[in-house]
Amino acid sequence: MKQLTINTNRITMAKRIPNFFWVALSISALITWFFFQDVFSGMGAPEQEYTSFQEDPISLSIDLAGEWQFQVGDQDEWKEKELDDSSWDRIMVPGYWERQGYEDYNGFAWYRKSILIEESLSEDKLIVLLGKIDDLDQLYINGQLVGSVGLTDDSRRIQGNEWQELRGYYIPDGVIAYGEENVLAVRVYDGRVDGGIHEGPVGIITQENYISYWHNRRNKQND
Amino acid sequence: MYLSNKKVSFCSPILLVVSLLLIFSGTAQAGDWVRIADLNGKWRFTIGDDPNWASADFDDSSWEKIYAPETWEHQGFHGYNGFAWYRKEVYIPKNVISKELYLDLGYIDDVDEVYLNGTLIGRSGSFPPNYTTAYRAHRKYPLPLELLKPGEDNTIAVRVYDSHQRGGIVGGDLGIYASQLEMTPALDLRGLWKFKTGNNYSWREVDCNDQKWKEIMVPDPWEHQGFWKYDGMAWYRKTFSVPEDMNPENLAVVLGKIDDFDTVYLNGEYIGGTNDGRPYGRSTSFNEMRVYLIPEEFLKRGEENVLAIKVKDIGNIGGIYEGPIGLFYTRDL
Repeated sequence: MKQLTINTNRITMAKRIPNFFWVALSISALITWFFFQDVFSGMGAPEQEYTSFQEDPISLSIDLAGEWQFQVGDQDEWKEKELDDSSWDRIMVPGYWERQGYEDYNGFAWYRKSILIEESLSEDKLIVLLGKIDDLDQLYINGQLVGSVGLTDDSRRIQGNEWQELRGYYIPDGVIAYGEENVLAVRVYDGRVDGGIHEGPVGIITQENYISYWHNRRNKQND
Repeated sequence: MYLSNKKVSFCSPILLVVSLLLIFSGTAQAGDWVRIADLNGKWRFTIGDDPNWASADFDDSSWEKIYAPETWEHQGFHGYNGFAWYRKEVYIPKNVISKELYLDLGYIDDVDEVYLNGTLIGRSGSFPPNYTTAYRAHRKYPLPLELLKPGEDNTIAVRVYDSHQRGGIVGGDLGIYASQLEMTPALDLRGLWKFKTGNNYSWREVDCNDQKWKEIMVPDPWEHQGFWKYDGMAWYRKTFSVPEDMNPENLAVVLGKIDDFDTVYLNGEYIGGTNDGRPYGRSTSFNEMRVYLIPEEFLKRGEENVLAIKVKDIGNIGGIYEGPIGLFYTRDL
């Protein structure tokens, strides 16, 4: 009997304290929410779901999937058009370099490819699609910087999801030599685990085709 | 019983603080700018990049439609990185007399360039190849008046570049804003007014002697001017002369914003008032712009006129706290 009474008292006390506690907590939460709602809404944003771009038909003017020249390391002159890269290794793009003889390699590596860009392509703006790259990259065409994600000449910054982002670099006017060989050089930095140009599409597309590609993608989703 | 009492006494001051915060945030946002065009909603949109898309004459009818502000990732362009353009036609009222206008495009991820009727008026961040993001920058671009076409549709074209992750015009409250203070009053009545706390119906009269009343700056809350935490009734009076040749048609008294309720008399005659009848905390009268039309016959041209305003403050700051203040032709508002 005695023990039971004590227990009842305990329950009453235990009830009271959390009541105060929860009231105070919820009010401070309310105030915190009021001041930081912008921050919270950013935090609460849904995680981006990453889709594959290969499932939709895309009409490339030049398909760049296949063998590229490849070299680990990092030298500024590797961007130059005239560089002799004939002694470089060859690698399949797209594909992780870990699965092509570079297990456990992290750090810088360069991809190079020489392509003929026909005169007929000079009518429209061109975009270089490099698919998805793990993690950061800079694209040079004929020695000129065209675009980048996360890399500059003297800095790099990995946010964490760059490896899932589609690269589509609009080529500025005056960079391409039409009717001639042009050299694409991609400087890639891999922070950890898998690295390289790992998922397509990889190629050159006209702006007109790229717009209709995205238009079709969007309408397919809306159906 | 003990518990529930305690809860109430603990809650109410906090609720009060929260409601005060809500009210303050309301007044803080009001500012001295009025929105003359709302740009939230559907815009014409395409991915890609072409300098011709800046032009006012360009036909964008085949473009996609998307909402702004909202990321394009959420509107069918999931995973798209690169260039895109937004275009929108916006009607600018004919009588925007304001000397100062700005375009608010909220937050854009990452880089943008804005064209008004084909002419570049602003840029944030840096486009590739030497790319720099400006995703944290609030886009507020001054609109050069010489480029505006009042009374017509104007074309706003926004060139956007997104490096990766979310992209587009992603946040904010989009619109064109005009500085209220720059609206041209027919007669500017900002400045020192006569002021007296309390209430007496005879204080509306032209011949009421206000010589010994206190002086107060209008607009500014009376809390800032020696009446700290005063709630209740007070009267404002202003004597001003109206030129003989002033056109009395379509004139309005503008008294900016008043906290909380007001009744306005011109030369002893009632011309208007604002009182939503709600209690403190729920009343929104304090945030309403006061514009009262002047019946032509009440205005005395070539003579002194008297404005008398009875103000009732039901809590927090009080008085005529925000401009513009004066006589305005309605076409200028």
